[in-house]
Amino acid sequence: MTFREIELADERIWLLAGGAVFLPETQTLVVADLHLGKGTSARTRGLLLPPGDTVSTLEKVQRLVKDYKPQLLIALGDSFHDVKAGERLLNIEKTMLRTIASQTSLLWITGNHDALPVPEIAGEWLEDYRSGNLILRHIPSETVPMGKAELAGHLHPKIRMRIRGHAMSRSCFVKGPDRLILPALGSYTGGLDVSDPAFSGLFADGSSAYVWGADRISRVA
Amino acid sequence: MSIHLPEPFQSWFLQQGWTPRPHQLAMLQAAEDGVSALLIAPTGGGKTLAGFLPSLIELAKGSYAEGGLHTIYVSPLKALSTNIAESLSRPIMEMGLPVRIEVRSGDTSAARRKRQQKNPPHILLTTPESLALLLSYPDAAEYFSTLRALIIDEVHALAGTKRGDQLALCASRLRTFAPAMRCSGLSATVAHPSAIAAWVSPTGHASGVRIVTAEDGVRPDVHVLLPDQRGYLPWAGRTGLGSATAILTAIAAARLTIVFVNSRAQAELLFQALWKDNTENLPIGLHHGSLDTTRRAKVEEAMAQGALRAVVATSSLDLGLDWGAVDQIIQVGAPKQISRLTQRIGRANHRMDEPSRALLAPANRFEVLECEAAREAVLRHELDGTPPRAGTFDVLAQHVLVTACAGPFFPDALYEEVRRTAPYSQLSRTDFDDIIRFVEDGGYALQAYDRHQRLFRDSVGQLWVRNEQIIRQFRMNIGTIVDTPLLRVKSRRGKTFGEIDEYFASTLVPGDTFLLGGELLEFLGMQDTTVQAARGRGKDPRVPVYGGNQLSISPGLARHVREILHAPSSWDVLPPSVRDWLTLQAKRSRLPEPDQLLVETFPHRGWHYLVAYTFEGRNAHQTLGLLLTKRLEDTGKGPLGFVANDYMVACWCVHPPGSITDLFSRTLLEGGLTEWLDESSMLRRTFRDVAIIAGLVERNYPGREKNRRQMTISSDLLYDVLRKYDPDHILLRATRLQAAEGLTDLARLSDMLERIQGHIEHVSLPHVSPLAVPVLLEQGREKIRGGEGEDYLLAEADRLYELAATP
Repeated sequence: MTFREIELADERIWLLAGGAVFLPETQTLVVADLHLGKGTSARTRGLLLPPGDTVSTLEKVQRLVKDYKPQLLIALGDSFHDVKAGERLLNIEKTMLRTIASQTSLLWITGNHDALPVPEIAGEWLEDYRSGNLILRHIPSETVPMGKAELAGHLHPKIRMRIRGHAMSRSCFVKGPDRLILPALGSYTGGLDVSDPAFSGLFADGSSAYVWGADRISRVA
Repeated sequence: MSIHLPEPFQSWFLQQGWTPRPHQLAMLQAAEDGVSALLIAPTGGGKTLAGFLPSLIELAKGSYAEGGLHTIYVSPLKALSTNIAESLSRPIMEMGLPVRIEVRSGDTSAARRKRQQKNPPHILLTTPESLALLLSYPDAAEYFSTLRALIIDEVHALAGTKRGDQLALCASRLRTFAPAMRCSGLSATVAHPSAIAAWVSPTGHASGVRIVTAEDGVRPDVHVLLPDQRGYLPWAGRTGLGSATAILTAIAAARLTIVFVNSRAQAELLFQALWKDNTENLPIGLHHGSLDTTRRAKVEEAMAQGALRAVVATSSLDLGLDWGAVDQIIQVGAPKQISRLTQRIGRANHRMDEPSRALLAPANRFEVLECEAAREAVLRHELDGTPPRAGTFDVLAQHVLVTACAGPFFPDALYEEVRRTAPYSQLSRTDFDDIIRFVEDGGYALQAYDRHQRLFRDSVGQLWVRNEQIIRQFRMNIGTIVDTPLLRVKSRRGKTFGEIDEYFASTLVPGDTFLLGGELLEFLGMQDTTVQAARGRGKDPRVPVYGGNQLSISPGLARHVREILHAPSSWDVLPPSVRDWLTLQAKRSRLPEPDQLLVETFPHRGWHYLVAYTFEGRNAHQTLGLLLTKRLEDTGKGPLGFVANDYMVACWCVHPPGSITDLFSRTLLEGGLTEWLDESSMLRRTFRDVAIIAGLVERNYPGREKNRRQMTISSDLLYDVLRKYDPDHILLRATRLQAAEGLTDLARLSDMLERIQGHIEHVSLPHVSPLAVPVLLEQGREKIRGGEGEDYLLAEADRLYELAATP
């Protein structure tokens, strides 16, 4: 259980190894961009990708739920790759989702891939959610109200860095004075480099990036 | 020989002042006897004509004039087909033969394709990819039923490659449609003629194939070319720029020279360097695979017309007709393989009765040893190279798709047909069935979702493609060449600077500078699939690396190099600068001794380096690098990467490597090795190609990227998921088998470990030794990702931020 505590808008936030967030005050676990059902989404076109991505992603979530025993689990949008993803779920995947739902309350924030609630999935659906001074939504907003901070996903941040000549590329958290972008947790999700203009607009006052290793969350930019 | 040329061929040969060569008549006899044949001949021996004569003579009899395809000619190069169509049109016209020849390649227009489909020519000249595409159409069985001959040119260059696997499978398909078809293979001189003969055989075995060997040409004239007083011979480096002026002098002394190099980057750099000193304005051209076709065609034309004095070329000119009266070749950089060098020298063999002239220009001091060793080996007529490997599963999967596109098929019959090819003669039924299942529904263990299969079985057991859309999709995927994706480099304002290799782009970090098209650019970041860059300043810019296979030195040549190194008495042939370098090595460290393993350790750029002089060739060294870094990771040394060349391997770690004797113990090969190999970037790269060829993921086509981007999932992610849930999936097995080919069998390393026990010479140095310099400048470094070494670096970066934040 490796984590690192940061603070935004006077709220304590734990950055967890693996790319999730835990809010200790409210015992809330936050994950972003699961893209469940992505592997099976192109089968109609004859593209048969290995279907294990959904199980793999759900295993990560199960592990986090087991480790942190949250009261509430919030998925920050694009949890399902498309609105029909629910129909394609394998039995084992449905069982895993039910197990998670039996251990914690589930809140699905809608995203651009799952703009409408996906049928037959346990849990509540909302467009955004407030937890103390924190606003949780899928797509980061242009401005955050004074005294508040935002947790969002959507961008799948990654960072390329060179430390003493050794180049690496890793998924990362991006933190500014009033917001935090979570990395994507889905097993088939790619990443967008933090040097992309999509980030500079959101972090006009500068940002820092955090990546995780085996036993430490490190700030690297 | 009893056979002779019939009229009008006899008279036509006379008119040209030619007499038919014995091997041309022998090929004619083989055709008369209805057997398949392999012709082995050096360049310039009338090889192509020998292949075509039997077909032309048969067609001249007129029995085929009514139409129907008679002969298919397949070569690895599109350009070769076009060229041959032109050179055959002369005898056809002059003898008034009722023969129609046409070319079919990826460039053939849709209208022409349609016409060829309706009204086939007598002789069709094509490539393996276009042939596979033709076989995917529903009328294939009828279209090819009249076929009498298949001519495969440059077989030695196809056998043992994925394109070769594909062609062998297509040939077997053709034989099913036209059982009377005979096959003629045309090959350069090779070390394993019977393995190549098996390759053209209708049964997959060499027996029954007639091998025709043409007489050798005159012994070539080979010399080592050293830099003149205006040049220099560096310790390391691969470009040979220091020899530019000496090369120019040699070019000026000949009529037409091919300057062969080992990589596209080297071709570009050397071409520029030659022109910089080209005060006489000698017309010098450039030819390599990254140039567009029209530019290449222009150079070929200029060569043929005698308008050029030299062409700087990569393997793009290894094959082919005589583009012009080449009277000299210059090999710049390590020759790597004796057979390949012999073939390149053969390019200067315009006439078989004159000696070919060749110069070998080493690019660094180590390569002087290699050039010298290669020169002696060529003169001794040594050949190297391994027999073609077994066919790969990904190509077979694609072939199953091709077959299915043409119509329903019985798996049993297809299995028999496939086993009649040399590459797949040993294929097990289990592997074949797994491949069929992969094509059918993915073949995954995690499979509860059975809608959306690609093939379905009817009541008699035939397999059908589910719908037209899937057929169209399949056809788009035909071909076994996977180009390394290129990314466009643009300024923030949208100006395009050029393109770089995706892999190279992935190693860039904002602030890095690199050279592109003669400009110094600074990497700003990535936007979607575009590289953002600006004109920059800074020292140490990086030179873009283009993908493509790095040839490994052959074991035979490596052994010759080792022999020179071990025998200071043989150093007389070496130039003084090389002797000085070796003497300096003996003084600063020591020279590797026979039957000993020299290992040096030294600090360098903040890391702890280890260099082992094993002389087993680059492929074996890659494996050794993986093994060493695994052991170093297991013992907490935090390895960050390794790099290998043909002579040595170097690793670097954040902590000192500890006892060298323990590191190189017999147990190096034990424990969790498969998993470590699976993790490596080499396996990941292999998987990417396998996934594309087998049809697991779609190829990227220009213009299609935009709407597909959402769906493209990095093959790395697919690989990780597949390994976790289907560790024995057919595509993972395919990946491991192929990597094992490239990485050299572990048996060889095991022998080496056995040999060196008790003979390890460890030298601890304060800094890098003279002999180690080349490997430290080598490209193609392999990084160890996600290990303790990277954790250490991340923690270090973090501590710096904490320090900066402390008031």
